[in-house]
Amino acid sequence: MNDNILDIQNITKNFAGVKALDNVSFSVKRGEVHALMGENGAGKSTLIKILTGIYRADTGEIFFDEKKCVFPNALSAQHAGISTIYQELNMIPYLSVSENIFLGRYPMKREGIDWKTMNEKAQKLVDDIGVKIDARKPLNTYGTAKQQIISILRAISLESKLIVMDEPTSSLDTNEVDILFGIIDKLKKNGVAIIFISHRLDEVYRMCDRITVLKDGQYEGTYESKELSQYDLLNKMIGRKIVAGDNQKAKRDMSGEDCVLEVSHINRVPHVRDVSFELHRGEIVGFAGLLGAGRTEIARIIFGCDIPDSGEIKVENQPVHFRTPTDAVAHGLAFCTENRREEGLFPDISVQNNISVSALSQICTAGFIHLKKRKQLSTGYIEKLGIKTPSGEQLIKNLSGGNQQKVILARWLATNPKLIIFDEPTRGIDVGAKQEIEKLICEFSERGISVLFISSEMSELVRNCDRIIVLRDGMIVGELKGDEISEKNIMWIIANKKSIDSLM
Amino acid sequence: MKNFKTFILDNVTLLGLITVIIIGALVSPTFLSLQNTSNLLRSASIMGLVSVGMTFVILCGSIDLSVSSVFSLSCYFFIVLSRYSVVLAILVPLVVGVVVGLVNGFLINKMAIPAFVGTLATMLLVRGLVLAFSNNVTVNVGTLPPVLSFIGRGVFLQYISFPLILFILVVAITSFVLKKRFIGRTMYIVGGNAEAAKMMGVSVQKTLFTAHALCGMMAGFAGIIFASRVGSSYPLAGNGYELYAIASVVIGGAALTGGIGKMTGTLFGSLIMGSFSNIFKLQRFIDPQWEFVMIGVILLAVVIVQSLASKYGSVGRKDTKDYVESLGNS
Repeated sequence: MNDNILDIQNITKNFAGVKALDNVSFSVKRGEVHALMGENGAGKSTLIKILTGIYRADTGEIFFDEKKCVFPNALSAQHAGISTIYQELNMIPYLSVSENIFLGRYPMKREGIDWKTMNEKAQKLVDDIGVKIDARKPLNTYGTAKQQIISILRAISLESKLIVMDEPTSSLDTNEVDILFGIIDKLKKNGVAIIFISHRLDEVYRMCDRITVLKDGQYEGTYESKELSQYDLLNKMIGRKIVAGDNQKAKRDMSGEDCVLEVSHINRVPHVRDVSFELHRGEIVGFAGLLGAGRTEIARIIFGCDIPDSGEIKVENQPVHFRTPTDAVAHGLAFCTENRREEGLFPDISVQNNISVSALSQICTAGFIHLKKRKQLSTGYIEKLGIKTPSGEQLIKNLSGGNQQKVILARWLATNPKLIIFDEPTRGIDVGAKQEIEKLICEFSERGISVLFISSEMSELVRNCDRIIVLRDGMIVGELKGDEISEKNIMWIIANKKSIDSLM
Repeated sequence: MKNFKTFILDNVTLLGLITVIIIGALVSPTFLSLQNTSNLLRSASIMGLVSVGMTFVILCGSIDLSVSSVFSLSCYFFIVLSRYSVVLAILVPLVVGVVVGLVNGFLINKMAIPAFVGTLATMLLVRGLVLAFSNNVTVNVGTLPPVLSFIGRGVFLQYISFPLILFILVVAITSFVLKKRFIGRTMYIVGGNAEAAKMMGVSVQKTLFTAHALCGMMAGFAGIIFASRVGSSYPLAGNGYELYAIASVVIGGAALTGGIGKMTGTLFGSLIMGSFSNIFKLQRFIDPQWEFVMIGVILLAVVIVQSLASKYGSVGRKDTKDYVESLGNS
């Protein structure tokens, strides 16, 4: 019998001309836990979707259990013995636990579904792993953790030979993670192979025998996890070669300026743990860290989208308790979110309406929009930010990504903010527009606007930030300023979980 | 105490029905008389069959507004064909219902039109057909053949009407199918999480087609019984029934977002609606013009209780709280 349960050979996949996966090969052994690592856009999810029959590869072959396989749909992959535990649970909330486990494979009696047998079988599966779950209760009686376990039970009952777990621990606490890992150990002993996707390095090193790294749709390599240091792993995942002419902005020490934002000891388990930091007038502070490190979650708390379990936030030395983003806007905060399309744009209305929507009070008289003022406001920003659009009447969805982002910037600037939070402001934007947006961000800070800059691109942070706060697993693990700011140091801090001071 | 609360919240519909019956008995001495009960159950059964069909589509997370028009078209065909053939008079209305249901399914599945808009269009279209076919006048035939007349007027043991028997039978069969047959479960699955359904190899389109076809057929069936009982077909027959049916299903505990609901709930929901309008005709305290206001109030009361039930009752996220608490301990 071949040692490998899965062999993926030379898989390439294009989406509208963009290579999502470029000639990727890797293999998984029977009974091993194999980590698949990579940042956003590395091609992990595309690869998993090809493996589980949701996408078809353009070229390349998949050998599963020594047979060449082409899976036309998710079901055929399941039948072959590949199950996937998704991050967003793909189950039916209102149906019973047992039905969710046996969905589509109901035990039958002559007249129909045999509920008694189904409940008993499900209860046995649940009891075997020692979790307190009543199989007859509706799935949504239980929290995310137990639902996750139930979806794993489904995979077990399918007698899967390979289980793909896509960030199974992202919403679990320590105890629940232990339970999950106990289950994984058992599966492993039974010869089940597991592809484990997680951004929590500790978990990867604790559970995984081997690690495969993807970067920008390309295969970086497969390593024994014992032989790969966390620093090397990070370097392979997110390290870039320094591009010549990559000019850095002069780093300023702004600690003498007024404190615009002060965050002390905020918690929102499990994503944010005891986070404290300050942000001064005109300062650009970067948030560095892997996906899932809690960067966006902290921003959402500051902006009132989520309410922290504990902790205090002060804006200009006044304690604030934002319940909704509206409160935050009233205090001079602005938030350019990471999902421009879902959380930022009104795609079917014009550029000028998209800009003026945040500043309606400035351009309205007695509830009527002053058309001239609207035009002045929007054309002002269109010129200032260099938004390339035939006119203010153009629908925003017809603009390029970079120009859309600028429209959103203009919208926030119209509110005269003291602090702008940028979450991945240059994602999906071409190089030229990217530079312009970075330049604009620096200009804002010159004018006294404070900036919280979240980015997965370390080089972008290193270029623009006066100070960089490094996060890992929802905690601040270090801070860099002045000359300390470099990609190497960011990765060192993430890998070693301690501040750079101990290095010096 | 906790169990008591859960019991109440889980059996809201049944308790609601009991309450309505008690109110009826208090308001009018004739309410519980055998003759009145028999009449009430017969009308409630006809409405109830439309609601049974509606339950299928609502379970799938869809909606069908065309049932009232299908009901009316079915009346028309039944009356017109009764002169020629017993078999055709029964068969054609059912087939018409299925066809309209399939058209609805086609619009929703293949044309990607929202169910509300698609079935609104077929509702208008089919109502227009009825008006055009009947020239906007009531169609009468002297006397129906005994077999056809029995469908709507037949009675056993003096009080048990044939429509009631048909209704109970249909509820029993559909209830069984929903619980014990794969096709029944697919409706819960599709309504509960259409994305997950696809991943698990359940065909969303097939399920929606089936539900809409069944819904149309039920509306056709109800039309047959109604026409048989009335003995004529008037062009506005069934007007507004789609909303009565939706109300019955929702009062029966189904969620308009799909995935939640039971046929027995629809049974109780239909009986509540039927009893209520019956009580309104019997009572002398409130002007009958206020009937719709009262129905609106009741519907609101039910959905508010349901909303609270899903917040605090056994259906829902009781354990999420425990989960959050357990998170705090780590």
